[in-house]
Amino acid sequence: MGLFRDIRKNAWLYLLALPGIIFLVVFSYLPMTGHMLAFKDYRINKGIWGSPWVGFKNFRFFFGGVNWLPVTRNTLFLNALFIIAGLGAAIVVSLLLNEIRRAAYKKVVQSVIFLPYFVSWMVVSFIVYAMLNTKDGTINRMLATLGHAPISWYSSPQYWPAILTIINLWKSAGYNSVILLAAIAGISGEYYESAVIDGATRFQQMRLITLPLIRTTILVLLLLALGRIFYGDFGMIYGVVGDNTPLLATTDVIDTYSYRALRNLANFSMSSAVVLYQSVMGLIVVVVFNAIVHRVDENARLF
Amino acid sequence: MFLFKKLGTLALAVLLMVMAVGFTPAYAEQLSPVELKIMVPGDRPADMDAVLAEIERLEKPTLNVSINLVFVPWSDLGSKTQLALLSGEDVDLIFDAPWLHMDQMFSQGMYEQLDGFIDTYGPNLKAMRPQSMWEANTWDGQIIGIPLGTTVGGTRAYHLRKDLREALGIAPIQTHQDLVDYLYKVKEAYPDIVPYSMDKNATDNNWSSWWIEQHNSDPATIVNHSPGGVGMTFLFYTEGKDGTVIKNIFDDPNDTIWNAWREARQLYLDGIINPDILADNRTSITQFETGKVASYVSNSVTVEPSERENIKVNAPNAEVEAFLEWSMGDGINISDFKVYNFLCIPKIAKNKERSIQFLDWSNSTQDIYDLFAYGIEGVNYEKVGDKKYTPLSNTYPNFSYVWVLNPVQDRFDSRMTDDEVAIQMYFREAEHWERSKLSFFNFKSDEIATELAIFNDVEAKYMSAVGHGVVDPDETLAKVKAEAYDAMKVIQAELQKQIDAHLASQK
Amino acid sequence: MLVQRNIRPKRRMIRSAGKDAPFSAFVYVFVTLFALMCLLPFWLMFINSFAKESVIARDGFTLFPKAYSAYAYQFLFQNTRVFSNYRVSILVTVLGTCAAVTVTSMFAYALSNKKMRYGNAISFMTYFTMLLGSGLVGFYILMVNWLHLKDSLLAMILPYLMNPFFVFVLVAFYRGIPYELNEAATIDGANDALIFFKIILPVAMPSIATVTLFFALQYWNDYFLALLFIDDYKLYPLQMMIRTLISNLNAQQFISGSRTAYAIQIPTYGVQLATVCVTVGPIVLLYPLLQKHFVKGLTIGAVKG
Repeated sequence: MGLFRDIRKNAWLYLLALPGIIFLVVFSYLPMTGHMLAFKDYRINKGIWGSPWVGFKNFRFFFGGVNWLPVTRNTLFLNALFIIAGLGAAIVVSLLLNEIRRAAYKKVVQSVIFLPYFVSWMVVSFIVYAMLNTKDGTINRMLATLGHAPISWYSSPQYWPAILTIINLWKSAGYNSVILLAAIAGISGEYYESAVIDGATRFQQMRLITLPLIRTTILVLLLLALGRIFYGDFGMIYGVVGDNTPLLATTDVIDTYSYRALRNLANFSMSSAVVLYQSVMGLIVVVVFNAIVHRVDENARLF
Repeated sequence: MFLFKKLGTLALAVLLMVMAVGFTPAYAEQLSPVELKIMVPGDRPADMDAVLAEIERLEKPTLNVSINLVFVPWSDLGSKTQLALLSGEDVDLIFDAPWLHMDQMFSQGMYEQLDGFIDTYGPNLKAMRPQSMWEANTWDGQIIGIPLGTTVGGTRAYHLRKDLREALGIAPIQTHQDLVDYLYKVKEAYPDIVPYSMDKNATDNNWSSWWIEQHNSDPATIVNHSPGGVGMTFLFYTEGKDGTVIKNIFDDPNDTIWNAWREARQLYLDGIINPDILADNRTSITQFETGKVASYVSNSVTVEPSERENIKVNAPNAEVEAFLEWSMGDGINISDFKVYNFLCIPKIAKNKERSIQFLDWSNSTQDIYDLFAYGIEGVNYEKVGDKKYTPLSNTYPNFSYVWVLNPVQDRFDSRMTDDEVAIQMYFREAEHWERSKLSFFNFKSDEIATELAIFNDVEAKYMSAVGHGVVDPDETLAKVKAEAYDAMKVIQAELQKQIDAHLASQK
Repeated sequence: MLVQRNIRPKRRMIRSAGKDAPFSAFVYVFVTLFALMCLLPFWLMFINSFAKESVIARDGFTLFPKAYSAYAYQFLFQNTRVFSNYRVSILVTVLGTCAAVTVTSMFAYALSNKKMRYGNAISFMTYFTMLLGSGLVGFYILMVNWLHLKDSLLAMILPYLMNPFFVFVLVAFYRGIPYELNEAATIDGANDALIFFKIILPVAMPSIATVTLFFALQYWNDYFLALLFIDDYKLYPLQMMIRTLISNLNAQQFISGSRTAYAIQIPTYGVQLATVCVTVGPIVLLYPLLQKHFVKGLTIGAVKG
């Protein structure tokens, strides 16, 4: 009953929301029935509804092996690194970019830092190979001029969390900084005016005005990223690392593991099971963090 | 008089009726118009429209088919075709293969059985493929796809730099040991050249796998891949010329296999094998064509003409030769006679007869086949004799293996020498080969999908590196055992059970 | 007039004191270095798309390739229907972006408004879909069997009309706008829709422009929808053409006997680079056009005026 009263009271608001709601129902909730496949043995000739229920059988290949824990750990660890470095870099870049006074230069830089977003992972892996290959990679050649022995990067798993973080940072910092720049643009000029009158340096203004006032946006971006923390970046990791055995100890994530196990089997049920695992875990993480964020900043909560 | 008038009126009435129905066309057998949707992998060639127009011009008067040819990117072939089938889409001919999902689709009854259709509507299809090809490529005795292949057996060969060999004064390579010596000498004399490299993605095509496959001259030590698609890296294998007992490497360690792995490891540590072999994105042939790699293992038994030409761009003095330590006599080699690609008809398709008639027409004469396979004569290609052709442009590359390929009408590249053609013919002529006992066997793996998933993951994770020598075989196989042994036992038991049942039913 | 428009804040005119100089220097140096780091790989891609294929295979991507050739572009343009692909991509992007921005910004506003008692519940329902996704099989059957959207432009537009990520970003922006603006307008008799279009939108222009840009990118870069739902090659967008082309070039290398190229080596790597350059072009031009909306167009302090 409360719902109908609310609709009558805020008719215009619900009207604004209506197209979005229709979209959600049709394109997001209706197809969700497909997730049932995780608990069924999907037979094409029987369709989704006719296929038999098999309980948790589809999860056995993932949880029954010894690898699900290391792979989950890698996923969480790498994603945490990506979030911290990526968001951190975006914050730094947007803050500093905001300080640039010359409008023309600022526009050029804004366009340039956006470019890495367009580079496909295939091309990125070529570039990384050009830099890191043992025989005549750029890095090894630099090391040689400094008198250091060449490192076999593609056989040394310990370096790769850092390498992947740098690559991810490079590719996404520009994209994320655009969102933060828009938030910065929304800050009223009066704050700065009064700060200058009080004798604050630009650095202090940045630290004490700009940064706190974009806190809401930062927290929202953080929350949204946390929800995907169980989803590994398949495109990047498989594109750059591939099936390179020595590196898998630190770079194998849930998605690459699932891909390797299932790629010859054409089995939708088992891949649905893995996705369900990732979604549910991500949901738990977000619900927990959403509650935490709620205490810090009322506006930043997702729900 | 009266009768005459009656007849005349009758004749007039008949004539009027005929005119009302319509003018019958000159070719009285023209069938009703039908559109065929054909789903194949690849990229639409630039001249596809021109070729399709010509095809339709030739067949419309009789077959009256309009062709809707849909190309699916290779990388998405599996999911797209599967989605098309599960949504009940109206596709008449669809590409499938054992390495894609043909076994699964068959066990779910998605494809029509074609035996009857081919007997009635496909005489040319039948004639252009040897009987052994039809018999071997069946599922439970049924034909569920038109086999698209030319060879009955296959093997690989090393392609290596002839000019380097001659510069070092080495005699033509006859044995495996000669090859290894050659590689070590190349490393010493040419530090900039990597003696051997391969594709990183080839789980089964690596130094040790090929070493094991090659050893077919001594029947006592022959080791084969196990059937059922699980023996690609020799974790499962069979012994002897036509072995039917599945063994796993942990319970039955095999010297041939272990020696091969150890040799690969030694070669890698000595720098003979490309140190970044698992990281280099370039295919082996591309690496070879840069002139910086001295040898690799190719799927083609003879040197390809394009390879010869391309390598000269970066290394003008380079010459390429092929080497395989593998006997090519009669009755020595066994094969299961299976091909790799098929064109299938979904059970719910509406125009099954017409699809077969259309494919049959494509194989009816050499000229028509040439149109499908090579394009428009004079524009895309040029005939050279009966069996050869020369490509003339890049606008219609040969993709006959996805819809019309057969061993009789397929042409060879005219830049191949006659010796090379003769070698290629060996692999096409069924009389040289003995059919293996497991030729009709198809592994039904639905029940053990979980174990297979675990096995596939572990195999893909470790075995490519072992085969290339990148990791220590003893350590790594211990890891494989720890992670996958239980799954392997289940798979082995199931596979053996099905094989025994199959053999019993053959008697 | 309730709100003043287009007043640019004067804070940029205030000269900074000397003590800001080292900070300024640091800012410029850092930003320039970062920009170069982003530009460099792009330069590599651009210049190597004009390099000879044999040079790329041999030397990898170099800053200044030793031999040049435009064959990669020639191959790309002659063997494909690039212009029709462009047309489809532009059409889908423009239509899709306009529709998507409208739907999403309206929806986000409704969610962010304090008056909606069920706003939080709807937020959760929205977020839930973001995590769970729709699964390939369910999605495909919905689009093809229930909505009959195969081989149509709508198939490439509709599924992305609302992106929960952008919804939440916009919600954060909207919540930063002082509620006093709404109250003042309500007193003047405006309903919620009017408030949204006439007041909130202009104030939130930087974030709307951002979301517009991102939607445009999403539509422009997408191949997935075309891959699944478009079988008619004349309706392929640019990215689908690229994916098919490159996937085929890569596959060809493994199939012996199919590499019978005529005269010139097929530029597998060159084409991949050329396709990136061809795709990026229009977007790089779009960004500066939108940039003027990224700066603040309006003072929040206009409430007092």
